[in-house]
Amino acid sequence: MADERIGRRELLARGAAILGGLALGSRPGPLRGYGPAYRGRVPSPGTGLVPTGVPNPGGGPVPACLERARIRWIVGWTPGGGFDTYSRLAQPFIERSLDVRIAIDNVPGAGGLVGAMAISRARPDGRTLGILNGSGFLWNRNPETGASSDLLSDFTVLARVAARQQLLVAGPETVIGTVHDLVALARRRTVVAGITGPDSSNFASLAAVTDLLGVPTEFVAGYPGSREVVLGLLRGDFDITSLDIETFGSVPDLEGVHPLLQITPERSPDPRLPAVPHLAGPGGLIAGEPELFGDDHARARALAEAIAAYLEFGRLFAGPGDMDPALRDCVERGILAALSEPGFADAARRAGRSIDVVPGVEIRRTIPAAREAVRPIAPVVAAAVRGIR
Amino acid sequence: MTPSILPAAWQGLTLVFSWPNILYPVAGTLAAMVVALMPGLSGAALMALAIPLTFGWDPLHVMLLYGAFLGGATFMGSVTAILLNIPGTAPNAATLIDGYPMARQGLARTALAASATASALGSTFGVIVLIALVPVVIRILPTIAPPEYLLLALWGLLAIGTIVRGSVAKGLAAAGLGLMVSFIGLDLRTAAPRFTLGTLYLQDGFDLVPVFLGIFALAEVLDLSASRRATISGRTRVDELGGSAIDGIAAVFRNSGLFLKSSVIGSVVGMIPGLGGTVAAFIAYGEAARTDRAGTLGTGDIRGVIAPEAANDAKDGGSLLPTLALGIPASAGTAVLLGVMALHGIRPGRELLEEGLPLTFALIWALFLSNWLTSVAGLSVVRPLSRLTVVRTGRLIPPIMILATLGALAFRGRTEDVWVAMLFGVLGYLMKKHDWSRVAFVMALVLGPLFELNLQLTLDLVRLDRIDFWARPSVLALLALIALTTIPTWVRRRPS
Repeated sequence: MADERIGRRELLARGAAILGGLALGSRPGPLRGYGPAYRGRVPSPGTGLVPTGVPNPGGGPVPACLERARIRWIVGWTPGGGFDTYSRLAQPFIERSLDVRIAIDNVPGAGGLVGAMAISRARPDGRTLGILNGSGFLWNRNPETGASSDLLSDFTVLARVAARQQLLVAGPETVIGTVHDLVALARRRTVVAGITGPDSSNFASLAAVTDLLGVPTEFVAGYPGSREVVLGLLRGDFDITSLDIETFGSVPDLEGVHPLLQITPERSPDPRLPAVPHLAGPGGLIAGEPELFGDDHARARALAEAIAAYLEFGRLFAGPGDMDPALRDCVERGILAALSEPGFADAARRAGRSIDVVPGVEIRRTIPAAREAVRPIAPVVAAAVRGIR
Repeated sequence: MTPSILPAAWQGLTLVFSWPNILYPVAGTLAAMVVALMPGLSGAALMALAIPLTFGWDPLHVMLLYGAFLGGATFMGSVTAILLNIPGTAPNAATLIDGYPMARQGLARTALAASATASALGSTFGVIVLIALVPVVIRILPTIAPPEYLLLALWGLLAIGTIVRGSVAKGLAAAGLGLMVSFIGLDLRTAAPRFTLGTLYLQDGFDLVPVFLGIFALAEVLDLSASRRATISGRTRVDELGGSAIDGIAAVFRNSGLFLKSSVIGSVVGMIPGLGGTVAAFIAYGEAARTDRAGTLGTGDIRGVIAPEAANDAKDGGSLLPTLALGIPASAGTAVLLGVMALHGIRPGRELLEEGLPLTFALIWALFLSNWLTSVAGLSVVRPLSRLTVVRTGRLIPPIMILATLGALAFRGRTEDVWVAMLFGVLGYLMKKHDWSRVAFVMALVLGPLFELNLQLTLDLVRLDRIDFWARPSVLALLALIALTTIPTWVRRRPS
């Protein structure tokens, strides 16, 4: 029995170490080294988000407002995906900080809209909360009704847990190793890009970036998920695609895939991306090599900022609109306290998930500016969608 | 095969069967069995619900629990399918096509035992394939592209022609209707709405679970209500029932060729991301129908139970390959498994299949153990379960109605799913009454999106010169397979 225990321990140590098993702390995983749980972010001119203090950052008692209440936490996607993972990671910490019980309810449908509607239509008593794709609500319109939900009036944004960080990548079958190679290739032939569908945020950012670079692009759309897109890239179905950095980190054995550009307003500290330029913001490609983006520098800057603002809104924790301000502030403080706990940061790091928490009050304040900032993306994406159809 | 596979497999086995580790797969199996008996609740839902429990757990225990969750749900879903025409999970819809008619003939025990045996042996086959083919398949898997998916879907769709009994025109019309229903929702390629009636609900199209609950279970409620049948089996005492558990077990061995063929189909389909158990079960059923010279499939033929059950369970082993090797989920359950692995710092990939192999095998053995536990438990209660078929229909109709309705509601918590189940209940009843093939309808519904999406992708890739369709060896091999399996059947069945 003793031998067996030793064997098992050794086995687990080996397994965990090899698998990026951060439980044993033996080797950093791909996304290790990300910022602390609560990280002040670089201000983005597009959104006007600024670093700010946490109302109750991980310390001090959180005012009681929902004690021992049962919270329905709505996730508009199936279990196992990114939004679900963030929710489940935060669940025990929010339960502790607000002294509540949380039941996560996956309500998938219409790309997260059904879940969002369920949050929006709930009674604003704090007992129904959930996670939203903030980027999607900035300008995406429902293809059915043409209507778009309003982040300010239909929801009460309580915190941003993470921004979307995306990468422009090229496949191993191409000659593209850098953004310059991509531009050069585009002079010889049409570049082919692969995506899940034209309603995805990856498509929006990819369409905008290829437009920025003046790269004529044909889109192959319809891959069932981002991992299938990666497989298509590895097979050589297409030349380029846009991936969330987390997807890039979670798909194993990506030898030969070339990350070309970080579609972010600041450089990711991911150790696998040291020489990969970022798009906007200080030190970005727009500022450093404006000639790469054509003659209309003002338009290029506006579009780059629009992409950054679009991705900034990322993954939001929210409740229904019209929450009582006292209740809203109390829940927001509880959530921020939870997201500021070192244990949450550790858990997210183990799961390969980046976190970049911004208080809801800051998000709410910057929504109007962000809506304006993302405007330049809409016509570019609409043109790309017409190309697919 | 790397030389370390067998020692790692042994190490994984000893991990599973050591104390207290064994408690995890056993508990996981019991939970999965209970959930699988409740229509609409999937194994994936159980896996998601259990995530918070596992925070702070040893990664090994997490793998053991989730391996059991993956394996425990499959057979139990066929119990309600055979006895009450309610598919416990979507893949069990293929089992009920012949399983329920067997119950109506008083042969529920035989059907249940055949299902349990095919399920256990099928999972064993899947695990063996997984162990034997890991190094080969890892190289092949990434090369499977939209043309291959397209031809697999085409293979399944062509099988509809052999499943249809009676009027060919009605059968093809039913298949056409299934295809049309499968096209409802946002166009997967362009995101353009199609027949969505301005609703959010229809943007994703009809999900299979409420449709299956309606077209089989609720339609059966209507049929039982309209008929004067006293009980499902037409008998009122248990001793009047025919068949036995032994007959069911023996039938699997008697049809060993069909069992092996279905297990191969299940393993292969399981390995291919995005296909899943429902496609595996229906393709296996289609293949069984293709070789059914007597034309008895669909009327309570034991082969119609063996084929889908073997395929559905064999796919479990195969589905772990893309999940563990490439980080690509092959089903809803493996998608959750990947999420849980990430939460516990376990990353899929080559390293997991080399240095981390014992941990991988612990997962595989837990799945294997769970499949067997479920089947053995199922076999032990075949007799009491078969009593349901002698209960008066007046007493049975309300529970079936409630189970099917709750199943539709519990699936995603959406009331619209209940209405959809009821709508398809009426459609299913009318189809049954007027001899329109419900099997053709559901097969087209299952395979339609796979066919359409991959047809679009293939056309795009050919148009853009990204692939040469006719130069792909796998395409030629699949075309040959389709020709070899389909043309002889058509020739044989051509009216003289």
